[in-house]
Amino acid sequence: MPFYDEIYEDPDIRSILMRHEQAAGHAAEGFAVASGKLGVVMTTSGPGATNIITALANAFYDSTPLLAFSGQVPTKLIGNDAFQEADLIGSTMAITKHNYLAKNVNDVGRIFKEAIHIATTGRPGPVFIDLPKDVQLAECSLKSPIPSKINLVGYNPVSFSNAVKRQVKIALNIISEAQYPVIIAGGGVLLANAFQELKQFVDTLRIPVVYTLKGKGVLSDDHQNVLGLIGMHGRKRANFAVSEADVVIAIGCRFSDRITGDLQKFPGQQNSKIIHIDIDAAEIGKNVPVDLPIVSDAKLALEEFNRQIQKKIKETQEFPMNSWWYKFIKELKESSGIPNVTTSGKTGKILPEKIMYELNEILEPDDIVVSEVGQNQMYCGHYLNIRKPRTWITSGGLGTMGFGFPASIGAKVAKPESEVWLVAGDGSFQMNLAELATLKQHNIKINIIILNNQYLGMVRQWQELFNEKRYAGTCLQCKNGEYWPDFVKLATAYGFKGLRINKPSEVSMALKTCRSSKESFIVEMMIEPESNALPMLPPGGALNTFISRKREKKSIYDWYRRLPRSESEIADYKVEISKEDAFSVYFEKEVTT
Amino acid sequence: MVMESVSEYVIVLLVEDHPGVTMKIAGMFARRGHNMKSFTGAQSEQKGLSKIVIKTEGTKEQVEQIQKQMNKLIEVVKVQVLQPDNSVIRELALIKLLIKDDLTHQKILSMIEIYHGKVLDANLKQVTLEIVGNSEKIDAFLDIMRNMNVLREVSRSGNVALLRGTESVFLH
Repeated sequence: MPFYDEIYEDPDIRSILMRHEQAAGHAAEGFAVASGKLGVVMTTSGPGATNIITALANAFYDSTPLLAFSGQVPTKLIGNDAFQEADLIGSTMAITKHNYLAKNVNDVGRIFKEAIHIATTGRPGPVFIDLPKDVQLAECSLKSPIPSKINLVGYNPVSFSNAVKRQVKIALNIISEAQYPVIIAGGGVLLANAFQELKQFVDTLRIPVVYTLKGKGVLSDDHQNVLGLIGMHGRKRANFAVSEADVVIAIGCRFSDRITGDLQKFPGQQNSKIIHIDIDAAEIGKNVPVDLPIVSDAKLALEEFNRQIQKKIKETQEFPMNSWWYKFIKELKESSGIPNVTTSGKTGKILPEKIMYELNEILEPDDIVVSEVGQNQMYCGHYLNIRKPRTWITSGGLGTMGFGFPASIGAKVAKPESEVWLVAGDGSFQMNLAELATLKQHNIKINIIILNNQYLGMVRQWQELFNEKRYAGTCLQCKNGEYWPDFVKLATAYGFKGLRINKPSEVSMALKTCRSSKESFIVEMMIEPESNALPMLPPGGALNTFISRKREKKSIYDWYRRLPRSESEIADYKVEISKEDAFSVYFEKEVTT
Repeated sequence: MVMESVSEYVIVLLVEDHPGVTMKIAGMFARRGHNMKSFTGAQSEQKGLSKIVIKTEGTKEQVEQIQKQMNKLIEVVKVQVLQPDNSVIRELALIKLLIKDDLTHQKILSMIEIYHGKVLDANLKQVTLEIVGNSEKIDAFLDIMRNMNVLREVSRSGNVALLRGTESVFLH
């Protein structure tokens, strides 16, 4: 209360009161991802503070820069089980980058300065500050409450070093000998803002790029080298490229189990090599054995790569790209686009693939897409064309249902000029739907697309595939087959308009109506209840084992068969690249700047 | 897969002297499923910094991972992994033994002498002594006392350690 009172009439601080603290935390995360700045969230003590635990954990897993602070009972009452007291230092320890209990008002300035520094530097993450009420009310006796210098002896994040230069040199030697190199771009590329550097690197060496869920958008999906999402629900062509790779260059990714599939069959185990660039040394070698570690900020490492490549080209007048592999990948990409599914499902409802196709038609490059968690997220990650960094927001490591809606609010606040689309499932949307009131109160426009399959779809899919269709606890229908809530009526209840559609032919029109609406708009799309997010890897399966639809089965095996493996097959695939062509790509940046 | 060899390591941490630091370190061990065989902490030679010594067991990769995770804690200033061949590692034990009869009394006293123990408190019913050495030496002494059925209570300090030679683990 004292803190809120202080910012009541502050012209510089815009405070948006959310309906639930968890949502406030996620909104701050959405703001941070969309803007590339620090997200800030404030709550009251006790239950208010425990409610942001999920958001802190989510930000911790996704390395989102977040500053969270909460009220606390007066210092004298701490430890007495006072009203609305909770041990937040203990509770947030394992899910924050750092936390503080401010016991003296003279420390508050220093703590905030340090907290912001810690949250935004190195590998970013959430920092939590506990502010007892008496400390909030006390008068600071220091002349300059905020120290000019930060003195944290135990915190010196390494972003670059001379060792990086040496490692990059070795890495380039490994890459130059590779036949089937692949780049895995992770969320670290986004956090480092290394988009230009990555593009230059890829354009020069023409190595195919796959991305993790958090790395979507760091390079446009339209880019000719980008094969798409990898992992459990990845694009087949992307998983194919990684499983066949002889050198994997991983940039800012942590090889989570959802990405690697069966570790024994993941590259790096036998004849292939892994080069791992990450700012956090603890991530290197944690899940997969790494042949060449590069502990560095992704942007600085890629700059060094580009510098050394440029030097080499100037010296040798040779262009270091693997032309046949590039040609192969280009053909692979061109042959595996997203078809327009015009048919409806078994029960006559819309297939999610149709919605993704139509969304791709209507999305502008600056539009921001936020997904919830579950099948909707995998459809988006798999199919959507995201063309700019920071226009794709999702909950990665923690997989927090209910993240998307509040995060979309934060994104819209960060980028009011962009259209923000929320793609949600009926299950996850209900987890934080109270924030519809926040939208109305603050006149924030979100295009809300609810894919309603009347199930907790992803778990249902697992039950269908692995538990003989025993849909325990996943059906959201009443016993008589009715489904509540009525999302259109819900929109009306909060003062918005809504629309429900049942047919594939209505999807395009509904999306256009949603976009052209002045206010937030809910489109409830009734999708095939038992539609599955396919292809998927069976749990524990290798990257090249898929569960997929019959009609899709054949395609990828063709590519396995066609992949040149012997020297002569590779020679047949080689293409001549003229020097002018090659150099123009490489020196594009130098010429324009 | 080749079974990787598990051995003992001593991890020495220089940490900022703040409340809750030990909780963060212990929490990190528990959360990531690492084994903590002993834990000692006290002020270091530098003002405002404490030294924590943890004995752990694991493969080389596991210990490397612990080291990296410890380094990430903001209040941890330095981390060093020591092994017996490059360092001095010691432990102190306080031991209370019960005297049953003259014969055991004689045996106890001669054992204390062999193990270079020092009697701190004694009367006709009990002997309280200290033994300093590596953990194996203390274990061996306690085994003997257990077999003689005279061991009443023990309080061990956990390991403390320093690098051998003029090299030092920390700041300068």
